[in-house]
Amino acid sequence: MSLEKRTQNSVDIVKLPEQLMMAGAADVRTELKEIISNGSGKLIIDLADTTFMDSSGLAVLVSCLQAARKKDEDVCLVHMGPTVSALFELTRLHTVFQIFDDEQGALSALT
Amino acid sequence: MPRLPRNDIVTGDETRLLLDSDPADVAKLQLRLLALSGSAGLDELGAFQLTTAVVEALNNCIKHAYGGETWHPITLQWSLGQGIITIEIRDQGKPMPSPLPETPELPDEDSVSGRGWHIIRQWTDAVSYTRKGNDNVLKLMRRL
Repeated sequence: MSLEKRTQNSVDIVKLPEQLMMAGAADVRTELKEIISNGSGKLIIDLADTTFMDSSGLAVLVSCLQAARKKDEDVCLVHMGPTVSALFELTRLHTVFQIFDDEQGALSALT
Repeated sequence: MPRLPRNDIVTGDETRLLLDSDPADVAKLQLRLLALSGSAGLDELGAFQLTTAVVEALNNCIKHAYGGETWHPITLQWSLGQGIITIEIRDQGKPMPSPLPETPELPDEDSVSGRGWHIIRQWTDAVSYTRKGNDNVLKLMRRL
């Protein structure tokens, strides 16, 4: 799997696929952690296309957040749809991540 | 190992789906579960919630019952009656702990695992587990 990625103002911006589930979770985790390791550690994860996520997907995002915070940086989530948002609220991860409606808000928070 | 044939058997308000204990099979099934939930009458959020609970239960079959081995059979039976969707999931792996855990506390926020059962319990109305012969039989129920 190769994720769509670009960099703006030293912030890496990555778009996740439609599904973030147990199948493929390990590949996405590896790729995101490489981006964090090789880059500034500031990461925006774009969930515009992500309509389904399970607890394996949540685990990927939590492990990325930990990797970024080890570099004293942060991960922001953008374009989260209402169903995935419900999953974050159920698991209370909406209190752990910075979540923005759009990329501009996330960029302002990270730079 | 040869893969089992995958069949959808639909009879009235019942649908029987056969899959392997392979995360790729669960990923393929996700859209089907969403469609079944929607056609039963759940709204978008309800369909997502029930689908996520079922996916978590299938993930548990793979991880815990079959220890991550991807070639074992799982049967999912979906039925609708008296305003209740019932999903029966059968596997032939290791027995589950009995009684089932009640709604567990969420793990620490920085924990990478431990949220699956919480999702199953919160997004279904009832869950039951029995061991029948060599089969684990987990039933998830959700009111319309």
